[in-house]
Amino acid sequence: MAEFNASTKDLGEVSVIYLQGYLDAHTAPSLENTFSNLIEKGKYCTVVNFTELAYISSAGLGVFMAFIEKMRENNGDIKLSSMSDKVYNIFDLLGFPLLYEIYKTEDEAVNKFIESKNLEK
Amino acid sequence: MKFDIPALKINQKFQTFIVLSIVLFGFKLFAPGSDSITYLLIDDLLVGLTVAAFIFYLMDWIHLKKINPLNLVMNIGIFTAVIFLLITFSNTILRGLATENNLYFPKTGFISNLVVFAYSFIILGSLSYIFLAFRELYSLKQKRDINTYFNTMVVFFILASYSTLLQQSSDLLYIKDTFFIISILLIIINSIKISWIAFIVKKEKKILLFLSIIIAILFVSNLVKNSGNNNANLLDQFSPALNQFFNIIGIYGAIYFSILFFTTLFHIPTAEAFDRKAQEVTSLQYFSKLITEVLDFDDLVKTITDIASKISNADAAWIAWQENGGLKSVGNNSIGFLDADLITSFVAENKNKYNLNETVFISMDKFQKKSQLGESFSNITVSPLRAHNELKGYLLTGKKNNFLFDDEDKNALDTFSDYASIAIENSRLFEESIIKERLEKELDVAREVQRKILPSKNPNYEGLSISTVFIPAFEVGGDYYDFFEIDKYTFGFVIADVSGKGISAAFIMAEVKGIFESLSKTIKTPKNILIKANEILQRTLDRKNFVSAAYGFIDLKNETILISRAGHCPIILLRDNSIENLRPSGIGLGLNFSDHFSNTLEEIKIDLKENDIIVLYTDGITEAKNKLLEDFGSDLFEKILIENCDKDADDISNKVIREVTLFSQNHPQHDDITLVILKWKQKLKIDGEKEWQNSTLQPKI
Amino acid sequence: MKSKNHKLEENELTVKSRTENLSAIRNFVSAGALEIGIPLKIVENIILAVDEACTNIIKHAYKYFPEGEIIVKLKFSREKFTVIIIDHGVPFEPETIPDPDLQTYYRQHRVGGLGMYLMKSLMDEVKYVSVPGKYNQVLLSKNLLTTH
Repeated sequence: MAEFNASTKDLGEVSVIYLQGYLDAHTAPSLENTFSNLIEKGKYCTVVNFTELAYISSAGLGVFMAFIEKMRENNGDIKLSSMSDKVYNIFDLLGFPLLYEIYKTEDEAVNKFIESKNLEK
Repeated sequence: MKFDIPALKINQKFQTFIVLSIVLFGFKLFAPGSDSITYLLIDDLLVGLTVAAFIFYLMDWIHLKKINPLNLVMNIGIFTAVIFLLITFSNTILRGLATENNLYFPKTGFISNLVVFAYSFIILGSLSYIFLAFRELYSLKQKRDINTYFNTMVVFFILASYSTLLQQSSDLLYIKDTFFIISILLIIINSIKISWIAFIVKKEKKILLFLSIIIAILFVSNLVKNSGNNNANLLDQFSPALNQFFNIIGIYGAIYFSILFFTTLFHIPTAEAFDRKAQEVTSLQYFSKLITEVLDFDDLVKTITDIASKISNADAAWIAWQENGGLKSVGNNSIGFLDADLITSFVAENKNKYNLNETVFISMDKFQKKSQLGESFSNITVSPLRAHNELKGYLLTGKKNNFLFDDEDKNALDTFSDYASIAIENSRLFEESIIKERLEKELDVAREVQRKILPSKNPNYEGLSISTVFIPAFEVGGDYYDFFEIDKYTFGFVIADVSGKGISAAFIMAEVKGIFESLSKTIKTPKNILIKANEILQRTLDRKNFVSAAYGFIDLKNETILISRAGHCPIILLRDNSIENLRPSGIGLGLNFSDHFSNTLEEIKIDLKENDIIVLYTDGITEAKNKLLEDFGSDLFEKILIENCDKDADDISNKVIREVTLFSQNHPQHDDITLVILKWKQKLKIDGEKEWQNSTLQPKI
Repeated sequence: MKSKNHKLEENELTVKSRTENLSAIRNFVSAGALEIGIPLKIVENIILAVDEACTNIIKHAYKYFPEGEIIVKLKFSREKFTVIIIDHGVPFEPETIPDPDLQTYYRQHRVGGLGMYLMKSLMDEVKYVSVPGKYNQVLLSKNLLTTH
């Protein structure tokens, strides 16, 4: 069993990354790759689904720090969804809710993207 | 040129030396003696390499030991004396051998070779050590890196030594002489750099004076004896270069120690004053350094241990601080937490054995868990840290590898630990006063906020008597009640309890007041008011806080009461000498922001009868404690209410509060106490709107 | 009975300085902590703090050199659960790292320092000592007798 896995689902304009397992300094590079791949493909609207993430350390949090600005510069964003209380508490401790939009469900986060895209049009 | 071969470990250096010695010995033994340049060149090169290998080996050893200058001088003295004895010995006993050697035996004779080899080797070793000792003395207390001077001198030593090979042809003799003279000039220049004597105390200076004159004499006499007599022949025969090196070192020694002698002589009269001054200056420096660190306890203890290990020349220092009845290691300087804890517990176990009123030395020999230590601490010092005659902990320093502490270290630590105690105490007082001041200010603000939030007067309605009691806890508890005139016929009331205490609770209270005040004007049912309040609080309450509340409307016209409750204590309806706890369901405000909140929130309606009493309270009453930590409890509360139900509202609340106070005397009040009693006295006689307006509804304030 | 309380139990794990070993370290610490009955919520905080400390060691003390040694020792008494982490790398002073300002970090694309802040927030005590030329130790401890 892999310690950590990040899989991507393409919803047209919005991509959803599903995190699974333990995200630490060892597994963070794998998530970095996932983000880099999305950027290469020009996909800047990302929802990260935390439902199956069991653990996150600051190295994992760092990945979001590293990519958020790039996404926002390109009119996109990283929106986070479906966190367990345990994971949310870590984000909260570091003040991440001020920097990131965090939603209860993946749908909510995806809809936010679609709403804002519609407004632009 | 730098004397460092990092790739080789000490053992390897020693092995190199041994191998070179054996090669040299073999060469001496089996190669035919000759005066040819090639032979002498190989011979001298081998000797030179051996000396170099030995010096490199010794260098690490000397650095490891961190020998103090007086010991270095003493060691030089010992080796000079050894050479002195050796030369004297060779002059009397070897004289015959050397002569016979020249006459009857070839230079390769085994026994003579062995003797000459051993003899030369002892001198070689002694010279190497003396040379290194000079180098150490030279670099002592030098402020800048001036090794270049010394290294230049070494280069000329080597040149002067090896140029002896050229003495075969007298035309080139001037080269040898030139190098020799330059070497001597450099020796004189370098010998002036003896600033280290300023740093030793008077007692040591006296010893130094005595030693330096003896050593100077020994060097001179060695030089004299070596020139032109038997020893020179032997050494010269072994290696001309080594012989020249011997002369150079001899001259260095004679010059260095003569200069040292006179310098020390001039230093002696002022030594004591200098000592005292130096100590005062350093103490003052340390103290001022400590004073500036009082703001942070962790920084302070780190500074203290850092200074302590410096002034006592220790390898490590830490503080064993008394906390919760035990000793805790803090401020560790160059010692691991585990080692420090082990040694601290050893000291704690044996503290009665030692007189810990002042700095004491403790040997780790008797420490049974010595093998568990990560590093070989052999000796420690323990100095008490006191504030106001109360022992606060100990300052400990440790040395490794069997090095000892001396009385000077003890004096320094005694003085320093007094300073350290004061600094620590100041820091603690400072911290306490800051915390206290902040807490008091905060509470003042919180009380002020609470005072302004609660209604200053109760509304006065004919037919409804209202009594309120609010007793704040020392730390503001977050209780809140309020009344609202909704419209001409409707009287609104609310009671709430904010989780948490102090300033944060007070601010949430203020917010809650604002919310209820505005919602009461626009929303017509208690249930909807609470739902909206919950929605608004979602934006401001963080996850830690919540608010319990009960909201009600009394319809004065229709004589009904409408109540909704969000996680608050039940509302008591006292009717016909019996109690009914009204418990409409509902979750506290700020705990759940989904539909679940509104779905579970109930609203009940009750028709009022004459003499009905509505009692609203917070858990400050039922959870008031006596000294046995028993709760006042709802049973007792209800009993008192029933017993007094025929009295008017004020009397009932007075009675309740008196009982609560009696019950919880001798135990500090931890939470706000709030009690609101509404007594419906009579049915209003209403015939029409006008009458309403004229008679009853305007609150008489 | 009181004297027995001061008895300390000990436990130790040694691993190479590689990020792949972080999970082993977490498992080791959480097993040790759960065994003595520390509530899961607190154990989760402790292993996160230990993870951060070890990540720092791998990054800063060993600078990703994979053959360094990390020794994790557990000590517990009734009052306190203590984790001591030992390395033989380059000394670094975690205490001197300031608390992160997320807004600045955001602007500067910086990610370091979060771990240190987490350690300080999650544990009751975070201490560091360096014995020059020998080893460095990080001490993390959690009080077990707090009322809340």
